[in-house]
Amino acid sequence: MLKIVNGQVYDPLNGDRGEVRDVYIEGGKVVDTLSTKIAEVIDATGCVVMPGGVEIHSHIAGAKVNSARSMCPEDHYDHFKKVTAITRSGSGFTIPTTFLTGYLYAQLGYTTAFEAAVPVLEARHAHEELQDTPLLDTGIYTLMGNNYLIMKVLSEKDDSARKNRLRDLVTWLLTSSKGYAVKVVNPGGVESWKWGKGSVDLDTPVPPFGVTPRGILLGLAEAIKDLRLPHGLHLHANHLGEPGNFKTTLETMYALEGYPIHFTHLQFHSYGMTKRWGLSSAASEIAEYLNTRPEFTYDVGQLVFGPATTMTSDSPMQFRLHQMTGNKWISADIEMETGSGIVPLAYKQSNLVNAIQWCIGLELLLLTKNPWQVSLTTDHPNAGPFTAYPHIIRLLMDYDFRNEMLEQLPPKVAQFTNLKDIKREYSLEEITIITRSGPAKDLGLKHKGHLGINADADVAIYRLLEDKEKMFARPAYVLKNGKVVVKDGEITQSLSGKSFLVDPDGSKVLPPDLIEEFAKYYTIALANYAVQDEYIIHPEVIACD
Amino acid sequence: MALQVHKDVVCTFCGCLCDDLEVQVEDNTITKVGHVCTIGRNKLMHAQSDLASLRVNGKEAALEEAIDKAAEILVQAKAPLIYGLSSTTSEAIREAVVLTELVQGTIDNPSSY
Amino acid sequence: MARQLVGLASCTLGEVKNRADLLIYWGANPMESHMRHLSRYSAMSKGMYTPEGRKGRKVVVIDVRPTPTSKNADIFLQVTPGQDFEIATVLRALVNGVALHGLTDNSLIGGVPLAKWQELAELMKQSSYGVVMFGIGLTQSRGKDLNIEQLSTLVSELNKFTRFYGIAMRGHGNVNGSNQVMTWQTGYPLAVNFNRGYPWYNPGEFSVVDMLHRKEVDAALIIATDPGAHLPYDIVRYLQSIPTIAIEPHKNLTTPWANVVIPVAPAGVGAEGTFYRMDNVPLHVKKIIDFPYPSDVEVLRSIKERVSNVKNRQRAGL
Ligand SMILES: [Zn+2]
Repeated sequence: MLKIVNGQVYDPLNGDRGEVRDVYIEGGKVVDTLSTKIAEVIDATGCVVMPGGVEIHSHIAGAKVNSARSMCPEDHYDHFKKVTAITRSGSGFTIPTTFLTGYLYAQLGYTTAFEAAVPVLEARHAHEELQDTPLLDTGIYTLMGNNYLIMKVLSEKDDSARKNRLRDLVTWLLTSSKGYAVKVVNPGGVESWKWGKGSVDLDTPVPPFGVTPRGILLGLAEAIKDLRLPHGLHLHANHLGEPGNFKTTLETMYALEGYPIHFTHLQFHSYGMTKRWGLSSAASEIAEYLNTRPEFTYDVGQLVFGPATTMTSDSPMQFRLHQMTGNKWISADIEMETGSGIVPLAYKQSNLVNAIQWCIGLELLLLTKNPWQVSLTTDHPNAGPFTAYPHIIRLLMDYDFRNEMLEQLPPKVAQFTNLKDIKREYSLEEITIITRSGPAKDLGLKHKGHLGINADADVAIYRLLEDKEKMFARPAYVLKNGKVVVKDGEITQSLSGKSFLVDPDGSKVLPPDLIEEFAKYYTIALANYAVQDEYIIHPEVIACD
Repeated sequence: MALQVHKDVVCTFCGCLCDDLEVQVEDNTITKVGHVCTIGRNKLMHAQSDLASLRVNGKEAALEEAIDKAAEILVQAKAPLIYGLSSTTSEAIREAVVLTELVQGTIDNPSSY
Repeated sequence: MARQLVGLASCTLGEVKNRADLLIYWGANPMESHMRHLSRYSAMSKGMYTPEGRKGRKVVVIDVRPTPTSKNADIFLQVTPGQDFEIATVLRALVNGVALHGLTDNSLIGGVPLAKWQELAELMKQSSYGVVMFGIGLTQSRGKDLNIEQLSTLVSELNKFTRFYGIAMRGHGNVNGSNQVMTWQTGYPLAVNFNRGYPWYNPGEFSVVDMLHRKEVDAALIIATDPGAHLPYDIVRYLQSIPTIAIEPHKNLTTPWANVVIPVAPAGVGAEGTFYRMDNVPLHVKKIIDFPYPSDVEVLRSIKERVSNVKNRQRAGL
């Protein structure tokens, strides 16, 4: 039993915009009154009280992240955490170790995070790492955009048989991986890479079945809608990072109108092209369109100057990045399912391309009228580490500060971006939306992202400061599941979070013809494929309704 | 006699981790192994023989005593080494790392040489 | 660790089975070390785009002596020991079309005429999915890190022309798992020291061989490995002189002299858990029979609890 008194509560879902009211907590939930008088009291005078942060897209656990950690000891040498009586030790800056990842998120006031890209074949690894990632409720997104079985089913002629079979297959892949949502990365493009072929457009037939990226997207979007998954299709579109790709992005959006889609790290997909094939901002084209499509959401993938580690399932894109930078490169084709690649990078203020990318992300955030459509991310650690969130929040809330930063960039950015002309400043309510309430809603987590009755008692309390970077970098208190886990920015206790799962209304077994395909082409037995229950310590199934 | 056949068993003896083994068990004894290489068969058929016995300084001991002694050795050491972990589960390896952290030792595995 | 300098382009074994039309075993002899590798995953397996199995694939073996694997190869390149770096360097030049001044077709590189390497370079570029599987011949020979670095660079550069990957033929069942767990918990795959209270990595300083060689260790806990069989003699002698604990299912060359021997149920037979295949695919291994012993997880947890109790008491006493 605990009460938070005198705080300015920001709870956009329930209409609180800084009203001073007390928040009561019992049994890990927000309640309207306490059953006993003896309660721990947190005095939040001079503080804002918000729901705990919800990370909608981050690469924090699994084969790819760990390969990156292993390849990049230089990321860890100078960034370490000593063991304490409460916390484990750890290391890493853009790719922190698991325990450190949990602590760092909690120290920013984040209490939920989703790992954005997991192949079913390697899902066990992601869940093992998440067991070692404390203080966060977590879930994983299951990769399906280059999956052989998906493409095989999509190639079937009979309309209703295809749709039924696809729903069953999506259900089976999600439950086998103990995943939460369907992730698509460069649909068809990764399979094409394995064949030594070039990049794909929406209507490029992809071997071996000649299914197109458009077909993959529409098929999966429809299955997801029919299955009523709590989160829509989580989409990393084709042509990430290429000048002029906003056309592909818009075409993809047109194709998917009416379906619940989350466009991820949209900054990387909002590029115009100059006459000399250089990069320019197409953020306004994208944002203007999104302003008319409330069914679409996105996260920004804001670029942060400094070190980053790019890692995606988009293996052809990662190879291109390796070729462009000459930096070290890991790639891994995953049989039947996907690929992946890793290239460490540093984004520099002095680099015109990086400077333009930085502007594009902010333009998207500032030009999107409805904050409920956008989540703050850095596509950690692709565009930068999540630890930069307080800095980005200040950029959004403080026009003068943003201009100061803008002036440090090469003057040429003005030719290719419009950031300078955008005067909007985010309010605290809007920040609350893009960092917790919005992503929670987008994820279909009804008990997250707000402080109404029966909400999970995940709470972040920040001292109200003029400098918003300082304010959000060091919460006064963070509560996880009703327990104080951070005080004055320091971890006070560690506990393990829940794992979010779904249980869609589709078949939990493969049909006989696909069992045969599995037996012929996978190198593990079907019986050993699905992630066993023991990998999930505290499961919570979110209803498909 | 209880006879069981376990299918799709993972062979843990080399990095291939072939997972299609058939292991026949009678009365808690492995009696037959199918879909397996010679090394794997040998290892599985002999998994229950030549077991190590619990020893403290060469003498038979109880488990609790051995664990106490092991803890004592690690606590008293200034620079303990935790080594191996090439043929055990990641769950055990996770415990080994936290133990190393606790005794401020060094941990290594055979991939370093 | 070469992977930390250049990375590695790789794939899972199923991709090898389904797609690879060129296989190169370099310093690897799976016929004897990974006996089902060829039939299940590589040369002899039949996959999605390799329905002819062995017939549809080109198989090359590079090794210092003929082996059962090389006898079944289309091309066997018997090389002189310790020349892997030079060979990979020449292959890189040939693949990239860099002129090799002063060398003729008959010049010997690693004991094999340049013309043969030229032929291999062409094969590599013309393959549509090539995979080089490298084993202890490469990873445990002189200059192992440089060898693998150069080979990884070659593999990486081949991707300008085609898909080309490398896979390390890991020996012990879960040595990959120990790299994986150490990496996600400490940031480093091996040789980590906690003396300062945080993970501190230096493979030259904290590797088992270096530390024992310099006698910088005053006690050892050995888990599921047999240093008595694997490590150099002088190092084993030193281990025998310090308090050593062995957590191990079977009698081996370490158990006779270890001060404390705690037998455990062997993983995958008497205890369940997770193993990582050589290509990073994680598998759940089962418990098939009961052993009279606990699992090593249980033993390690008990030791940990004892140690932290003592530490807490020490802290309280101070
Ligand atoms: Zn991402």
